[in-house]
Amino acid sequence: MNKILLIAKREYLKIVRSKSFWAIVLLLPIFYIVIGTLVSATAQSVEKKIEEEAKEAKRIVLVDSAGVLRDSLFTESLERIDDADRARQLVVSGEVDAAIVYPPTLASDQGIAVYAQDTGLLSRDRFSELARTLLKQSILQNIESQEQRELFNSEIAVSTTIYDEGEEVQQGIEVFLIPIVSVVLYFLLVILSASFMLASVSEEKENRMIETMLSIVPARQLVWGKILGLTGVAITQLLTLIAFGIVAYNTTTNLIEFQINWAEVPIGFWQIILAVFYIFTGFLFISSVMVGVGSAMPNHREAQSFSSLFIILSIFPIYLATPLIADPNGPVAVITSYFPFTSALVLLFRTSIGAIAGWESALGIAAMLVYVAVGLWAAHRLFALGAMEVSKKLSFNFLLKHFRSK
Amino acid sequence: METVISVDKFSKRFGRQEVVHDLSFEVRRGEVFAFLGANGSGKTTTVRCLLGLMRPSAGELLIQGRRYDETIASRIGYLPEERGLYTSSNVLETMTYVGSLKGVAKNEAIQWSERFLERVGLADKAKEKVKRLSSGQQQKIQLGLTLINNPEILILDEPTKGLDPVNRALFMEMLEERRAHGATIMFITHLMDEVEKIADRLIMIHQGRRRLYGEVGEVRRQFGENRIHVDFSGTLPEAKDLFRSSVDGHRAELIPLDGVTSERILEHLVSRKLKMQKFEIDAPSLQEIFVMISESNE
Repeated sequence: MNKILLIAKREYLKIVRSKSFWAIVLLLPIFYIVIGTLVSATAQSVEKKIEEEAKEAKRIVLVDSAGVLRDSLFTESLERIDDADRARQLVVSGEVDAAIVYPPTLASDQGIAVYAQDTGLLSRDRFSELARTLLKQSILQNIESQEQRELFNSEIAVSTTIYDEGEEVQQGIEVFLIPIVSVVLYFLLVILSASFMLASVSEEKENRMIETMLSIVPARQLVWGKILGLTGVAITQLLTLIAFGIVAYNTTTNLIEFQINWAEVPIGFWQIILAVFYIFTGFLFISSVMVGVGSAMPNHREAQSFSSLFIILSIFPIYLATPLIADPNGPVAVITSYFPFTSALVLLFRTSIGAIAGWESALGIAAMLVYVAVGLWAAHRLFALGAMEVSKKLSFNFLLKHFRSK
Repeated sequence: METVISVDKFSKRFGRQEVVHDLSFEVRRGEVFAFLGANGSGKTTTVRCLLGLMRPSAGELLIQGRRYDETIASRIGYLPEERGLYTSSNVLETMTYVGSLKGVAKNEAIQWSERFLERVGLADKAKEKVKRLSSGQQQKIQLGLTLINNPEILILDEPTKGLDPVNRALFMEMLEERRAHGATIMFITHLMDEVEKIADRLIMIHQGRRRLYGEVGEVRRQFGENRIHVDFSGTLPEAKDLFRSSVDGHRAELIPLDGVTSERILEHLVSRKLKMQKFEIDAPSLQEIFVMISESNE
């Protein structure tokens, strides 16, 4: 045990003392926030640009075959003509910026046709909104009541109440807080820790220190020492992220009107226990896979590219988010709950939204324990085998030949 | 004399390929034992099985009467063939860490490391990252890791590989010291002068089988009757039924044919009235024996 603790201490300090660790832990959430803000700002600026381009149009011709457009809506840049073909020709010849053609019967499948000058990929649809607005406003002007017209133009709030078997279903952000936090923690802890584990095993092999180490410490103790050290790293990450989250929450609630009603956050004792269990067993399983990959590959670079396959498998449930959220007890959810690489994340999600029966939870716990046991067993074997093959990639034939011996 | 390492009827297979076959030998307390053989002959595999890094296919490999386990590790210093260091750690940290894993108290490990670094001329590198050291300097640190627990048994796989003559001499001096303190040393090498200089006994394996085993002098003598060096005047008489010869001026090397003794050759040369200044039965060097055995396909 003393040796395991010594190894764990070294692994922990090695990572926690490195600048890259703190850069990842602190900058990753900032990175996501910055990316999110940039994406949103870019979308807004594109919309704004499109709007401006539409406003800058000097001459737009309208063909009203349906006879619905009201003259009062025509501004300086809008001009009515009768012939749809001529309107199109005016665009082709560059005499007008756009032509909007309303078909004789708008209720039919035939829609409004817009012909416009090309001003760039993103603004090709810039006159669609104008075409719709002119039509809607024209219809509106037919409505006699001023009150109805005002109502048509106003922002009407809609509130929805949902019931499930007679019980009102909570719909605030509070309901999703635990699932969101659990899944985010799984990603940050498991995926980042996996990369540290891979680097640690690759380092032993690449530095050719592994044989010296295994002559002093059994493979099992060395692997457990690393896992324990990385658990410490994960806890440090967790505490840092909690502190970061508290600061971010307090800051943002002062800047924008965003409040969480903590009393409405549904926190169940077993839910928390199971969340911790799935995160920890997910961490152990991914760690064992990384030990295996690091042991089988001759260097960190090759190990990294090979491990990406398993990382993608582990985050695959994200791509299945829609069917998982829509039907958390459906076939996709059930199948991915028992596939080794997706099991922890899907079970974690289903448990955190309370969409899993007791017997299925028991089955999930058993499955995770089996996956972890098999993963660690294989990891120890690969570690012992890979240690002696420092400059080689372990081939399938090699594994087949040697897996039974140490 | 007490047996420290015992290998009995050891075989190792990888799939269908048998790399070591029915190998037996013993290493006695306090001796320097050389483990010889061409590349791929099974030496490193034997050592790895001895240290529990691989599992033997058959036979028993014991250290101090028991199979290797972590409790024995604290009494052993192992320098593997594939050796390295944690390059991103500093020198003193690395030495202290390995020392602690071998059961040395932290303060003791620090003090020992500082003395060792002083001795090998690396005192100013104690706080330096390992990756900043030259390969020769790193090898000294690797030796330090091997010796830090003051081991009773040293198992060294090509310990002087890559060392310059000065550092090689320093290394041999340190081994002699360990031997003087009663340590048992088993080392794998291809450098026969090292064996002749410090080894008491040796084993040589070829294609996984034992070919030579015993005291260094005895092994040489076993091959010694096969060649005679003669300095002479006049012409060396031929005797195709007694020996083959290679003549260089007035010096000749005679290789007796099977069943022919050196006495009979001497009688023959005297009877042919050859004037001889020297008639010397010469034991071949270990280098020659090594090459001879390595080239044989038996």
